[in-house]
Amino acid sequence: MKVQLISPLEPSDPFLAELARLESRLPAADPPWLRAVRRRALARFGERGFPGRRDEDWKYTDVSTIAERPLRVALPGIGSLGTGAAGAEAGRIETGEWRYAGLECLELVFVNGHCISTSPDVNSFYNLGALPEGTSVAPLAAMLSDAPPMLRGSIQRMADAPPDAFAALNAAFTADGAYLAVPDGVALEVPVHLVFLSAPADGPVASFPRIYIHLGKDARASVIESYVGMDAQENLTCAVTEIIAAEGARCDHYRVQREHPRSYHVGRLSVSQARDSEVTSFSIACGARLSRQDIAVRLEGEGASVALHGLYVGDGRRHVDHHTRIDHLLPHTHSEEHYKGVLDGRSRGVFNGTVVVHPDAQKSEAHQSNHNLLLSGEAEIDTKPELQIHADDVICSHGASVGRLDPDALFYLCSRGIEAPAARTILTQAFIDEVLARLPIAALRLGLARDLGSAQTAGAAVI
Amino acid sequence: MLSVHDLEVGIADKPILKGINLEVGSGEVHAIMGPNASGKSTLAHVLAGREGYEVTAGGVTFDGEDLLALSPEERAHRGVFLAFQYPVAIPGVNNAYFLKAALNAGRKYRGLAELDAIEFLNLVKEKLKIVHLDEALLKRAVNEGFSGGEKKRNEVFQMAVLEPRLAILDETDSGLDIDALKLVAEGVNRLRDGQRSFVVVTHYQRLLHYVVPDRVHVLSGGRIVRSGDRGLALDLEKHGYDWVKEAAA
Repeated sequence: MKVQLISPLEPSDPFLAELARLESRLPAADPPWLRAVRRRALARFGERGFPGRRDEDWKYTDVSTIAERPLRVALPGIGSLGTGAAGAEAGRIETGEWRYAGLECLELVFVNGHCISTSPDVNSFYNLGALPEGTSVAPLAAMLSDAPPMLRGSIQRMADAPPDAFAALNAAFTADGAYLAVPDGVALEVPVHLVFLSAPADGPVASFPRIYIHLGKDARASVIESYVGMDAQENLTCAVTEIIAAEGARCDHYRVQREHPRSYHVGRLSVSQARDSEVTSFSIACGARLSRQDIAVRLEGEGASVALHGLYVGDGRRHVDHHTRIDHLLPHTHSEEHYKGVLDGRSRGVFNGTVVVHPDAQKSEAHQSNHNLLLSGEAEIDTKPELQIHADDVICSHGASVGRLDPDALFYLCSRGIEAPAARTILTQAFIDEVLARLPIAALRLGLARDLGSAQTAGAAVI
Repeated sequence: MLSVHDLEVGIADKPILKGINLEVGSGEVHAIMGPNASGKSTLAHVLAGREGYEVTAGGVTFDGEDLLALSPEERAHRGVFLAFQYPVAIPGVNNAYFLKAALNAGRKYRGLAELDAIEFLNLVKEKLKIVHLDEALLKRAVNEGFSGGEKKRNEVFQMAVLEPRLAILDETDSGLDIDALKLVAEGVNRLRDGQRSFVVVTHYQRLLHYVVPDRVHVLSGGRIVRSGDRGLALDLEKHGYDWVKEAAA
């Protein structure tokens, strides 16, 4: 994916050709404004190109493997799965094996970035039930032809001022995703589960889901984004989520990345918070060959508060990167951030947590921690907390650690007859459980505990 | 049952044990006494299989098997149990989960069916009574936030659940007030059944008022300088360790 884009775009540009191919498959209602926005975004991307190692934000994460491969954008429709594997995969999709047992939720399912929950042959998945009045939960594609001004503004902003090259690329290929709007004073009681399945499609494809979440004044909602790899493939998922929380709104956001171990995943979460709003984010990353998650939170109103929790698990030669940035813009804003990582084999983790307390953000409070467990001599972590404090009356703290399993604890367990490998697993699970224990949705907590092999949390109901 | 012969052990080239001989028969209680830094805890740790010690001469057999060739978990499976002087706090691992894993690992080794959650719970409820510990302890993280007395009682509780053939108590009396000491001693005595053997490592004689030993050995400078019956412990209390050191010199 060599970048030689100049503005205006050459008709022969391969990215433009991909865009034309995608648009030829989109419904006739795909609006002209959006077609123009996509081209502007592609031009922005062309100006920047993919980030290189000299870019400070990408110093430890080399995306040349993504940059050098040909871009093939996944097209809408279940038929885009390809010929050979399509039947078998469609069967697996129907089993719903990626669901969390006992999780009551509103569900939208996507295959390679395109929603299948509205397709007539799979509409049994579209189980939205009755929604509170004025609430919208819909595939983004269904909202684009007559896009609400807020949504249109959001898409235009991301295209004209993308925070990085991947956000620009996502804007350039925006075609589907999810739209959630909850009006003032309404609480959506059940979580919305957005399931992004990455499936084989006669060779690697790239998908660009876009999620837009708008919570009105004092509104409440929980959203789970699951990214699930279906079968051996090297797909790229490049996702962008935006959360806008109005005054007093409360949003719990869960992002679970379980992509195929040979795939690539780049995700961005942008959060804007008004006065007294509360946002909690969980980012669990345990898949993909290379993954990068950016989280940017702007506390734009007094009393706004955010909590970011994260867990990343790496083995083999996996690379997992989290970059977070929290901007405290006004007084009495509150942030806390707790990330933990477990790295085995020759995997590599990156954690970069920036907190900026702006001059007007007096009486604010920011706390951050990042603790890492290295299970092998060859695993690596680069952890970098970065506090920039421009106000004098604030409370801030941060702590980072990198450690190995405690040999005294290991001996204690083994001396009671527990086999050494089991003892190591127990101690690793205990490290992970501390994050899982904070997940308020029990079905999600137990499902993740099972996926991450944590028998203790999964079995907590028994003892 | 346990046979220690001419055992020499060092840490990083520094000799600690300089030729220990000890025979512990089935059902016997042996006390190992001695001043600080005499090598008492080293002996306890080497028997349990802690890393970091180098055995330079001699050996240890347990029922005729070379104990030192076994991993800590293999020793546990054969019935060796160490009650730690400083039980390790393990945040995030609850006591019940830990103990069930330990018990079932041992049962698996012996070819017994693993206990399910209900069977396990019924068993441990009985055993908790032995050391007068509350059931709430099961849900707490292993030794985390436990008082000194709770930690030591938790060691005896684990011993009661795992039912070892040889229990080594490493200064189980240290840091306990007299009431806690009595509770621990009562727990140990209830586990004496004529078959199970004990090696009680202690600095002071006071535990031996309650857990009465068959034999007392005095360790000093890495050697057993004196052995006798429980009367030796009483002599030590009266005369102090200098008396044995002088006698040995």
